[in-house]
Amino acid sequence: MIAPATVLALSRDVRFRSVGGEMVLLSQRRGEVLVVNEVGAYVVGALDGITPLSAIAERIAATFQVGVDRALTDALAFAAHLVELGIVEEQRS
Amino acid sequence: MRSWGEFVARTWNENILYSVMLELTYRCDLACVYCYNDRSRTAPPLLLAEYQRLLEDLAAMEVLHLVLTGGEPLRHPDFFAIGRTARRLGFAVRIKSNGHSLDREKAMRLRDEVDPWVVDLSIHGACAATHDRQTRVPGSFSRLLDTVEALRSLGVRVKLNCTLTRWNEGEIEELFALADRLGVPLAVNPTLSPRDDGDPSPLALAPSDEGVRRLMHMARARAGRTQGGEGTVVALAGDEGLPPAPPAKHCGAGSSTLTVDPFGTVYPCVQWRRPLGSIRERSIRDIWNGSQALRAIRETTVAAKNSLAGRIPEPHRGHFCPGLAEMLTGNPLALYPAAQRLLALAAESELPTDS
Repeated sequence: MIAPATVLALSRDVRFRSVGGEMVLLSQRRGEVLVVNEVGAYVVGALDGITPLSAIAERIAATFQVGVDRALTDALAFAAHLVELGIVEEQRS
Repeated sequence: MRSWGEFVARTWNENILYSVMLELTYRCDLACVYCYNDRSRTAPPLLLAEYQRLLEDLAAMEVLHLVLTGGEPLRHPDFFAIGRTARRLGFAVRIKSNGHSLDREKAMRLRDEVDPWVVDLSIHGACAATHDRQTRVPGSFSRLLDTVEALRSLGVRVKLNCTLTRWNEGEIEELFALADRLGVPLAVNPTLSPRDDGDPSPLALAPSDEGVRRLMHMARARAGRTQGGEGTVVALAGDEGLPPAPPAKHCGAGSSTLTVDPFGTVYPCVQWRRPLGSIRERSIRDIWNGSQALRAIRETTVAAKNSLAGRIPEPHRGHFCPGLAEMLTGNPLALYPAAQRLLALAAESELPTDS
């Protein structure tokens, strides 16, 4: 279950590049490819295995000038999608 | 989020280098009858340090997809060192191999040190008699099957590629049955290429019309059986296939792809052998951004798209390759006989049947 306190990191088998404002992510194990926009790339870049989603949402709100609640809702949904595709993994303490 | 197809179309339209193929060596442990490599070329091959610098440049240019091919890439003395560098720099590595020397020990090294995204293996027939006849190495079919099993058991993604020839066209159904049994996707390419020095002798082994018809029939019968395009059965001219969202160009040659030969010469595509420069004289970034020859290639891919519009239905356009056209006729826009034949057969395969 993805929650504000959830901490995520890129899966080890994921290869990615930033291309002209977008980010392409390839899960080698699952064979899934994902192309995300600038905001998505920002979120992926912030998934460092330490920072909880709530803190990332605050940064998104400040950087892209949206409300914190909206940023958190979007970040949780996006993170759930990334987990489903095997792009990121939950870090359990 | 953008779809993968839309992204690929963007790389073509905006000249975003996404995929680079490195022909590491033309040495090979097989001797395939129709091999297109020009093995007579002699020049000092790139050194490991030059490959490392090239890979660092490509990573800085945000290239994601790196193809290591040959000849047989594993015959390169620094194959694993190059592969380790590619992994460290975050490339998604595809390896195109004949699998002949990939015993279990090497397969484990490949997984642990290079961690490829996929290993493409060449298959030449559904039985030893046909496969070994084409490779001219007895026992190569048996070795290939062992390699597939070894890689699969180690969790490495495998894909089989087959070039359709007069010798193996009678085994199309058996080839797909074999691939299904092995649990791997199979792509069959109905196009043979002349050798890179222009020698047309490989074309003598081109499949018959009936062979191509049977392949296209199989393609229709198996369409939609697998997800993600992995079950593609008729390989089109472009190595990466065609994006579903039609871009402004005929293909991504020189717009999203480059090929580098073992001596450092850069080409727009493995099939389009028009030299763009040498990485021994200019950096790959300089060639990408400043080559007049590359600008001409990009303009030609737009011209090819426009020239073929209305003459070739969109789904079949991948049967035409400007690189092959240039090699065979001197004109990258000329509809060469092999493409005309494939296009006619593709159109015919779409006609309604009584059955």
